[in-house]
Amino acid sequence: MSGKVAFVGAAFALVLVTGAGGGAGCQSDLDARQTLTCPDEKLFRTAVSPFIEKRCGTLDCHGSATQPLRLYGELGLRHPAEANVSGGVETTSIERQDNFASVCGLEPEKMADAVGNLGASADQLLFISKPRDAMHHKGGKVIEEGSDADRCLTGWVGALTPEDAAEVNARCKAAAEALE
Amino acid sequence: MSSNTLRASMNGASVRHAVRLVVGACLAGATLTCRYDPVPAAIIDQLGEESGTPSATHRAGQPCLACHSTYGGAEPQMAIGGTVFYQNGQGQILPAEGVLVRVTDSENTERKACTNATGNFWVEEDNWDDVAFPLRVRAGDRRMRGIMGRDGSCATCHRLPDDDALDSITGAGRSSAGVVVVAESDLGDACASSPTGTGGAGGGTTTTGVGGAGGAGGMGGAGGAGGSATTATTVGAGGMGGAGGAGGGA
Repeated sequence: MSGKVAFVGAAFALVLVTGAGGGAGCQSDLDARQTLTCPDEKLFRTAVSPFIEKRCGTLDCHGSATQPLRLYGELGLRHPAEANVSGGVETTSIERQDNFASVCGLEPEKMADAVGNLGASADQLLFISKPRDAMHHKGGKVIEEGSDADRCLTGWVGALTPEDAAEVNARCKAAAEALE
Repeated sequence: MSSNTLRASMNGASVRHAVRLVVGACLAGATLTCRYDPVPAAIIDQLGEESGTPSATHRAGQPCLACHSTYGGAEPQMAIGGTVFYQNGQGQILPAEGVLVRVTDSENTERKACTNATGNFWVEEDNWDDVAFPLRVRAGDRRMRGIMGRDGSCATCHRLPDDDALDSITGAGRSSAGVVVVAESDLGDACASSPTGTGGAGGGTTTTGVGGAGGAGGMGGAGGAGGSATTATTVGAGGMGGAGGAGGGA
Protein backbone atom coordinates (compact mmCIF):
# COMPACT_ATOMS: atom_id res chain seq x y z
CA MET A 1 0.00 0.00 0.00
CA SER A 2 2.72 2.41 0.96
CA GLY A 3 4.51 1.59 -2.26
CA LYS A 4 1.44 2.51 -4.26
CA VAL A 5 1.06 5.78 -2.39
CA ALA A 6 4.71 6.57 -2.95
CA PHE A 7 4.32 5.83 -6.70
CA VAL A 8 1.24 8.01 -7.01
CA GLY A 9 2.97 10.74 -5.05
CA ALA A 10 6.00 10.59 -7.29
CA ALA A 11 3.84 10.70 -10.40
CA PHE A 12 1.92 13.71 -9.07
CA ALA A 13 5.15 15.49 -8.27
CA LEU A 14 6.41 14.75 -11.75
CA VAL A 15 3.27 16.24 -13.26
CA LEU A 16 3.70 19.36 -11.14
CA VAL A 17 7.34 19.75 -12.08
CA THR A 18 6.60 19.17 -15.76
CA GLY A 19 3.73 21.63 -15.71
CA ALA A 20 5.76 24.27 -13.96
CA GLY A 21 8.70 23.77 -16.31
CA GLY A 22 6.47 23.87 -19.35
CA GLY A 23 4.74 27.01 -18.14
CA ALA A 24 7.96 28.79 -17.39
CA GLY A 25 9.45 27.72 -20.74
CA CYS A 26 6.45 28.91 -22.75
CA GLN A 27 6.29 32.21 -20.91
CA SER A 28 9.87 33.07 -21.69
CA ASP A 29 9.51 31.98 -25.34
CA LEU A 30 6.36 33.88 -26.17
CA ASP A 31 8.10 36.79 -27.82
CA ALA A 32 11.20 34.96 -28.92
CA ARG A 33 12.31 35.43 -32.49
CA GLN A 34 15.20 33.86 -34.25
CA THR A 35 16.39 34.60 -37.73
CA LEU A 36 17.62 31.57 -39.61
CA THR A 37 18.97 31.21 -43.10
CA CYS A 38 17.12 29.26 -45.75
CA PRO A 39 18.45 28.17 -49.12
CA ASP A 40 17.70 30.30 -52.18
CA GLU A 41 13.95 30.91 -52.48
CA LYS A 42 14.00 31.89 -56.13
CA LEU A 43 15.84 28.72 -57.05
CA PHE A 44 13.35 26.74 -55.03
CA ARG A 45 10.42 28.31 -56.84
CA THR A 46 11.81 27.79 -60.32
CA ALA A 47 13.54 24.43 -59.95
CA VAL A 48 12.93 22.48 -56.76
CA SER A 49 9.25 23.08 -56.19
CA PRO A 50 8.13 22.01 -59.68
CA PHE A 51 9.89 18.68 -59.13
CA ILE A 52 8.71 17.94 -55.60
CA GLU A 53 5.18 19.01 -56.50
CA LYS A 54 5.14 16.24 -59.08
CA ARG A 55 7.03 13.58 -57.17
CA CYS A 56 6.03 14.22 -53.57
CA GLY A 57 2.97 16.47 -53.71
CA THR A 58 0.36 14.05 -55.04
CA LEU A 59 -2.89 13.99 -53.12
CA ASP A 60 -2.08 10.56 -51.69
CA CYS A 61 1.28 11.72 -50.31
CA HIS A 62 2.42 15.17 -49.25
CA GLY A 63 -0.39 16.89 -51.11
CA SER A 64 -2.51 16.38 -48.08
CA ALA A 65 -3.53 18.75 -45.34
CA THR A 66 -2.79 16.03 -42.79
CA GLN A 67 0.84 15.54 -43.81
CA PRO A 68 3.66 17.10 -41.77
CA LEU A 69 5.39 18.37 -44.90
CA ARG A 70 2.49 19.90 -46.79
CA LEU A 71 2.97 20.66 -50.45
CA TYR A 72 0.63 22.50 -52.79
CA GLY A 73 0.62 22.22 -56.55
CA GLU A 74 -1.20 22.04 -59.85
CA LEU A 75 -1.71 18.27 -59.70
CA GLY A 76 -2.07 17.99 -55.95
CA LEU A 77 -3.49 19.98 -53.08
CA ARG A 78 -4.59 23.53 -53.84
CA HIS A 79 -4.14 26.49 -51.56
CA PRO A 80 -7.09 27.26 -49.26
CA ALA A 81 -6.85 30.99 -50.03
CA GLU A 82 -7.50 30.37 -53.71
CA ALA A 83 -10.33 28.67 -55.58
CA ASN A 84 -8.34 26.34 -57.82
CA VAL A 85 -8.96 22.64 -58.28
CA SER A 86 -6.47 19.80 -58.33
CA GLY A 87 -5.52 19.28 -61.96
CA GLY A 88 -6.55 22.84 -62.83
CA VAL A 89 -4.41 25.93 -63.31
CA GLU A 90 -0.66 25.94 -62.85
CA THR A 91 0.86 26.13 -59.39
CA THR A 92 0.46 29.68 -58.09
CA SER A 93 2.92 32.02 -56.45
CA ILE A 94 1.34 31.69 -53.03
CA GLU A 95 1.51 27.91 -53.32
CA ARG A 96 5.23 28.01 -54.16
CA GLN A 97 5.76 30.42 -51.29
CA ASP A 98 4.08 28.04 -48.85
CA ASN A 99 5.95 25.06 -50.25
CA PHE A 100 9.17 26.94 -49.54
CA ALA A 101 8.00 27.64 -45.99
CA SER A 102 7.11 23.97 -45.51
CA VAL A 103 10.49 22.74 -46.64
CA CYS A 104 12.65 25.35 -44.96
CA GLY A 105 10.57 25.33 -41.81
CA LEU A 106 10.70 21.58 -41.39
CA GLU A 107 13.97 21.71 -39.44
CA PRO A 108 14.96 25.36 -39.55
CA GLU A 109 18.10 25.14 -37.43
CA LYS A 110 19.44 22.11 -39.25
CA MET A 111 18.60 23.70 -42.56
CA ALA A 112 20.47 26.85 -41.61
CA ASP A 113 23.45 24.75 -40.62
CA ALA A 114 23.36 22.93 -43.95
CA VAL A 115 23.20 26.21 -45.84
CA GLY A 116 26.12 27.48 -43.78
CA ASN A 117 28.29 24.51 -44.60
CA LEU A 118 27.31 24.59 -48.30
CA GLY A 119 25.29 21.42 -48.11
CA ALA A 120 27.86 19.26 -46.34
CA SER A 121 25.29 18.25 -43.74
CA ALA A 122 22.33 18.14 -46.13
CA ASP A 123 22.05 14.39 -45.75
CA GLN A 124 21.15 14.94 -42.10
CA LEU A 125 17.98 16.77 -43.07
CA LEU A 126 14.64 14.96 -43.05
CA PHE A 127 14.07 16.60 -46.42
CA ILE A 128 16.90 14.48 -47.80
CA SER A 129 17.07 11.43 -45.54
CA LYS A 130 13.36 10.61 -45.75
CA PRO A 131 13.06 10.35 -49.54
CA ARG A 132 16.33 8.44 -49.57
CA ASP A 133 14.69 6.14 -47.01
CA ALA A 134 17.77 6.53 -44.84
CA MET A 135 15.21 7.40 -42.22
CA HIS A 136 11.90 5.56 -42.24
CA HIS A 137 9.60 7.04 -44.86
CA LYS A 138 6.05 5.81 -45.31
CA GLY A 139 6.37 6.35 -49.03
CA GLY A 140 9.54 4.26 -49.09
CA LYS A 141 12.63 5.11 -51.07
CA VAL A 142 11.62 7.69 -53.63
CA ILE A 143 15.01 9.01 -54.67
CA GLU A 144 18.33 7.31 -55.21
CA GLU A 145 21.40 8.91 -53.77
CA GLY A 146 23.28 10.62 -56.56
CA SER A 147 20.35 10.64 -58.97
CA ASP A 148 19.08 13.78 -60.69
CA ALA A 149 16.33 14.02 -58.10
CA ASP A 150 18.79 13.69 -55.23
CA ARG A 151 21.16 16.25 -56.70
CA CYS A 152 18.24 18.58 -57.29
CA LEU A 153 17.45 18.60 -53.57
CA THR A 154 20.93 18.45 -52.08
CA GLY A 155 22.30 20.86 -54.65
CA TRP A 156 19.69 23.44 -53.77
CA VAL A 157 20.59 23.31 -50.08
CA GLY A 158 24.24 23.99 -50.80
CA ALA A 159 23.89 26.21 -53.87
CA LEU A 160 25.98 29.37 -53.68
CA THR A 161 27.08 30.43 -57.14
CA PRO A 162 25.21 30.95 -60.43
CA GLU A 163 26.93 27.79 -61.67
CA ASP A 164 25.48 25.88 -58.73
CA ALA A 165 22.05 27.26 -59.52
CA ALA A 166 22.35 26.23 -63.17
CA GLU A 167 23.30 22.72 -62.10
CA VAL A 168 20.34 22.52 -59.73
CA ASN A 169 18.02 23.78 -62.46
CA ALA A 170 19.24 21.12 -64.86
CA ARG A 171 18.98 18.30 -62.31
CA CYS A 172 15.52 19.29 -61.15
CA LYS A 173 14.29 19.65 -64.71
CA ALA A 174 15.62 16.20 -65.63
CA ALA A 175 14.07 14.66 -62.53
CA ALA A 176 10.71 16.24 -63.27
CA GLU A 177 10.78 15.21 -66.92
CA ALA A 178 11.41 11.62 -65.89
CA LEU A 179 7.96 11.68 -64.32
CA GLU A 180 6.23 12.73 -67.54
CA MET B 1 6.21 -15.63 9.09
CA SER B 2 2.86 -14.83 10.70
CA SER B 3 -0.40 -15.89 9.08
CA ASN B 4 -1.29 -12.25 8.33
CA THR B 5 2.07 -11.65 6.67
CA LEU B 6 1.67 -14.85 4.69
CA ARG B 7 -1.84 -13.86 3.58
CA ALA B 8 -0.64 -10.41 2.56
CA SER B 9 2.25 -11.92 0.68
CA MET B 10 -0.04 -14.37 -1.09
CA ASN B 11 -2.48 -11.60 -1.91
CA GLY B 12 0.32 -9.57 -3.37
CA ALA B 13 1.51 -12.51 -5.43
CA SER B 14 -2.03 -13.20 -6.58
CA VAL B 15 -2.53 -9.61 -7.63
CA ARG B 16 0.74 -9.58 -9.53
CA HIS B 17 -0.20 -12.86 -11.18
CA ALA B 18 -3.62 -11.50 -12.10
CA VAL B 19 -2.06 -8.37 -13.54
CA ARG B 20 0.32 -10.47 -15.63
CA LEU B 21 -2.59 -12.55 -16.89
CA VAL B 22 -4.63 -9.49 -17.81
CA VAL B 23 -1.72 -7.78 -19.54
CA GLY B 24 -0.82 -10.98 -21.34
CA ALA B 25 -4.40 -11.50 -22.47
CA CYS B 26 -4.61 -7.92 -23.71
CA LEU B 27 -1.40 -8.21 -25.67
CA ALA B 28 -2.46 -11.54 -27.16
CA GLY B 29 -5.86 -10.14 -28.00
CA ALA B 30 -4.34 -7.10 -29.60
CA THR B 31 -2.01 -9.24 -31.65
CA LEU B 32 -4.73 -11.57 -32.82
CA THR B 33 -7.66 -9.26 -33.35
CA CYS B 34 -6.82 -5.61 -33.01
CA ARG B 35 -5.58 -3.95 -36.18
CA TYR B 36 -6.98 -0.59 -35.30
CA ASP B 37 -5.39 2.20 -37.26
CA PRO B 38 -7.32 5.47 -37.01
CA VAL B 39 -6.61 6.68 -40.54
CA PRO B 40 -7.98 3.74 -42.57
CA ALA B 41 -10.60 3.13 -39.90
CA ALA B 42 -11.96 6.65 -40.41
CA ILE B 43 -11.98 6.18 -44.19
CA ILE B 44 -13.93 2.93 -43.86
CA ASP B 45 -16.38 4.53 -41.43
CA GLN B 46 -17.09 7.32 -43.92
CA LEU B 47 -18.00 4.90 -46.69
CA GLY B 48 -21.40 4.16 -45.23
CA GLU B 49 -23.41 0.96 -45.10
CA GLU B 50 -23.42 -1.54 -47.91
CA SER B 51 -26.52 -1.35 -50.04
CA GLY B 52 -27.31 -4.80 -51.32
CA THR B 53 -24.83 -7.59 -51.67
CA PRO B 54 -21.11 -6.88 -52.00
CA SER B 55 -20.08 -7.59 -55.56
CA ALA B 56 -17.74 -6.49 -58.30
CA THR B 57 -20.11 -3.65 -59.14
CA HIS B 58 -20.58 -2.32 -55.65
CA ARG B 59 -19.46 0.98 -54.14
CA ALA B 60 -18.48 2.60 -57.44
CA GLY B 61 -16.32 5.66 -56.89
CA GLN B 62 -15.25 4.70 -53.39
CA PRO B 63 -11.64 3.95 -52.43
CA CYS B 64 -11.40 0.21 -53.09
CA LEU B 65 -8.30 -0.49 -51.04
CA ALA B 66 -9.78 0.90 -47.87
CA CYS B 67 -11.39 -2.51 -47.52
CA HIS B 68 -9.75 -4.65 -50.22
CA SER B 69 -6.41 -4.60 -48.47
CA THR B 70 -4.51 -6.33 -45.74
CA TYR B 71 -5.95 -3.87 -43.27
CA GLY B 72 -9.54 -3.98 -44.51
CA GLY B 73 -9.51 -7.73 -45.02
CA ALA B 74 -12.12 -7.84 -47.83
CA GLU B 75 -11.51 -10.25 -50.71
CA PRO B 76 -10.10 -9.96 -53.26
CA GLN B 77 -7.24 -7.90 -51.94
CA MET B 78 -6.18 -5.40 -54.56
CA ALA B 79 -3.02 -3.70 -55.73
CA ILE B 80 -4.99 -1.09 -57.67
CA GLY B 81 -8.66 -0.34 -57.88
CA GLY B 82 -10.88 2.42 -59.14
CA THR B 83 -13.90 3.56 -61.09
CA VAL B 84 -14.11 5.24 -64.47
CA PHE B 85 -16.94 7.48 -65.65
CA TYR B 86 -17.90 9.32 -68.81
CA GLN B 87 -20.01 12.40 -69.43
CA ASN B 88 -22.94 12.00 -71.76
CA GLY B 89 -24.41 14.60 -74.06
CA GLN B 90 -26.61 15.92 -71.29
CA GLY B 91 -23.60 16.51 -69.08
CA GLN B 92 -24.39 13.63 -66.75
CA ILE B 93 -21.57 11.61 -65.22
CA LEU B 94 -22.24 7.91 -65.81
CA PRO B 95 -20.32 4.66 -65.28
CA ALA B 96 -17.98 3.89 -68.15
CA GLU B 97 -18.14 0.22 -69.05
CA GLY B 98 -15.57 -1.60 -71.13
CA VAL B 99 -12.79 0.94 -70.80
CA LEU B 100 -9.27 -0.41 -70.98
CA VAL B 101 -7.16 0.83 -68.09
CA ARG B 102 -3.39 0.47 -68.27
CA VAL B 103 -1.26 0.92 -65.18
CA THR B 104 2.52 1.10 -65.40
CA ASP B 105 4.76 1.03 -62.37
CA SER B 106 8.20 2.52 -61.87
CA GLU B 107 9.83 -0.72 -63.03
CA ASN B 108 7.91 -0.35 -66.31
CA THR B 109 5.77 -3.36 -65.48
CA GLU B 110 2.26 -2.99 -66.80
CA ARG B 111 -1.11 -4.40 -65.84
CA LYS B 112 -4.33 -3.95 -67.74
CA ALA B 113 -7.90 -4.09 -66.59
CA CYS B 114 -11.30 -3.46 -68.07
CA THR B 115 -14.07 -1.60 -66.37
CA ASN B 116 -17.31 -3.40 -65.59
CA ALA B 117 -20.92 -2.27 -65.65
CA THR B 118 -20.46 0.28 -62.88
CA GLY B 119 -17.11 1.47 -64.17
CA ASN B 120 -15.16 -0.48 -61.56
CA PHE B 121 -11.82 -2.07 -62.36
CA TRP B 122 -9.04 -3.53 -60.31
CA VAL B 123 -5.84 -5.51 -60.29
CA GLU B 124 -5.57 -8.09 -57.57
CA GLU B 125 -2.67 -7.96 -55.19
CA ASP B 126 -1.83 -11.59 -56.02
CA ASN B 127 -1.34 -10.47 -59.59
CA TRP B 128 0.93 -7.56 -58.66
CA ASP B 129 2.38 -8.13 -55.24
CA ASP B 130 5.60 -6.36 -56.18
CA VAL B 131 4.03 -3.26 -57.67
CA ALA B 132 6.56 -0.44 -57.48
CA PHE B 133 5.16 3.03 -56.93
CA PRO B 134 4.87 5.60 -58.38
CA LEU B 135 2.43 4.51 -61.07
CA ARG B 136 1.32 6.01 -64.34
CA VAL B 137 -2.20 5.38 -65.52
CA ARG B 138 -4.06 5.57 -68.80
CA ALA B 139 -7.82 5.03 -69.00
CA GLY B 140 -8.98 4.68 -72.57
CA ASP B 141 -7.26 7.43 -74.51
CA ARG B 142 -6.88 9.62 -71.48
CA ARG B 143 -3.53 9.70 -69.74
CA MET B 144 -3.26 10.74 -66.12
CA ARG B 145 -1.07 13.84 -65.97
CA GLY B 146 0.32 13.12 -62.55
CA ILE B 147 1.43 9.95 -60.85
CA MET B 148 -0.07 7.71 -58.21
CA GLY B 149 2.29 8.27 -55.32
CA ARG B 150 1.60 5.43 -52.96
CA ASP B 151 -2.12 4.70 -52.70
CA GLY B 152 -3.68 2.08 -54.96
CA SER B 153 -7.19 3.47 -54.60
CA CYS B 154 -7.94 5.89 -57.41
CA ALA B 155 -10.73 7.40 -55.34
CA THR B 156 -8.34 8.57 -52.65
CA CYS B 157 -7.55 11.46 -54.98
CA HIS B 158 -10.44 11.18 -57.48
CA ARG B 159 -13.29 11.59 -55.03
CA LEU B 160 -16.97 11.63 -55.80
CA PRO B 161 -18.57 15.08 -55.47
CA ASP B 162 -18.79 16.13 -51.84
CA ASP B 163 -19.16 19.30 -49.80
CA ASP B 164 -15.60 20.39 -50.61
CA ALA B 165 -16.08 20.12 -54.36
CA LEU B 166 -15.71 23.27 -56.44
CA ASP B 167 -16.97 21.45 -59.51
CA SER B 168 -20.24 19.81 -58.53
CA ILE B 169 -20.30 17.65 -61.67
CA THR B 170 -16.94 15.90 -61.38
CA GLY B 171 -16.26 16.58 -57.71
CA ALA B 172 -12.98 18.37 -58.40
CA GLY B 173 -11.84 20.62 -55.60
CA ARG B 174 -8.81 21.75 -53.66
CA SER B 175 -8.11 18.23 -52.41
CA SER B 176 -9.70 16.16 -55.15
CA ALA B 177 -9.06 15.82 -58.84
CA GLY B 178 -12.69 14.81 -59.30
CA VAL B 179 -13.81 11.49 -60.67
CA VAL B 180 -11.98 9.92 -63.60
CA VAL B 181 -13.86 10.91 -66.75
CA VAL B 182 -13.06 9.45 -70.16
CA ALA B 183 -14.47 10.22 -73.58
CA GLU B 184 -17.60 8.42 -74.66
CA SER B 185 -15.61 6.98 -77.55
CA ASP B 186 -13.49 5.03 -75.05
CA LEU B 187 -16.42 2.89 -74.02
CA GLY B 188 -17.07 -0.63 -75.07
CA ASP B 189 -14.86 -1.91 -77.79
CA ALA B 190 -11.37 -1.34 -76.48
CA CYS B 191 -11.48 -4.29 -74.14
CA ALA B 192 -13.14 -6.54 -76.68
CA SER B 193 -10.32 -5.99 -79.15
CA SER B 194 -7.61 -6.07 -76.55
CA PRO B 195 -5.16 -8.99 -76.47
CA THR B 196 -5.91 -9.21 -72.78
CA GLY B 197 -9.26 -10.82 -73.45
CA THR B 198 -12.66 -9.46 -72.73
CA GLY B 199 -15.08 -9.40 -69.92
CA GLY B 200 -17.75 -10.60 -72.28
CA ALA B 201 -21.30 -11.25 -71.30
CA GLY B 202 -20.80 -10.65 -67.65
CA GLY B 203 -19.46 -7.20 -68.26
CA GLY B 204 -16.55 -8.46 -66.31
CA THR B 205 -13.25 -7.03 -65.41
CA THR B 206 -10.24 -8.60 -66.99
CA THR B 207 -6.97 -8.40 -65.26
CA THR B 208 -3.96 -9.83 -66.91
CA GLY B 209 -0.36 -10.41 -66.38
CA VAL B 210 1.73 -8.85 -69.09
CA GLY B 211 3.83 -11.20 -71.07
CA GLY B 212 4.04 -13.56 -68.19
CA ALA B 213 2.40 -16.60 -66.82
CA GLY B 214 -1.35 -16.53 -67.30
CA GLY B 215 -3.27 -13.64 -65.86
CA ALA B 216 -4.03 -14.28 -62.26
CA GLY B 217 -7.06 -12.14 -62.00
CA GLY B 218 -9.46 -12.80 -64.83
CA MET B 219 -12.79 -11.84 -63.36
CA GLY B 220 -16.29 -12.48 -64.31
CA GLY B 221 -15.89 -12.51 -68.02
CA ALA B 222 -17.01 -15.30 -70.26
CA GLY B 223 -14.58 -17.83 -71.54
CA GLY B 224 -10.97 -17.14 -72.15
CA ALA B 225 -7.98 -19.11 -71.07
CA GLY B 226 -5.46 -18.69 -68.37
CA GLY B 227 -7.51 -16.86 -65.78
CA SER B 228 -7.82 -17.86 -62.21
CA ALA B 229 -10.88 -20.03 -61.80
CA THR B 230 -10.96 -19.38 -58.10
CA THR B 231 -11.08 -15.66 -58.57
CA ALA B 232 -13.67 -15.85 -61.30
CA THR B 233 -15.87 -18.04 -59.17
CA THR B 234 -15.63 -15.68 -56.26
CA VAL B 235 -16.59 -12.70 -58.31
CA GLY B 236 -19.31 -14.56 -60.14
CA ALA B 237 -20.87 -15.47 -56.83
CA GLY B 238 -20.79 -11.85 -55.90
CA GLY B 239 -23.09 -10.95 -58.70
CA MET B 240 -21.08 -10.60 -61.88
CA GLY B 241 -22.22 -13.94 -63.18
CA GLY B 242 -19.19 -14.51 -65.34
CA ALA B 243 -17.87 -17.95 -66.09
CA GLY B 244 -14.21 -18.61 -66.17
CA GLY B 245 -11.30 -16.27 -66.14
CA ALA B 246 -10.59 -14.15 -69.12
CA GLY B 247 -7.40 -14.32 -71.06
CA GLY B 248 -4.07 -14.27 -69.40
CA GLY B 249 -0.98 -12.46 -70.36
CA ALA B 250 0.54 -15.26 -72.33
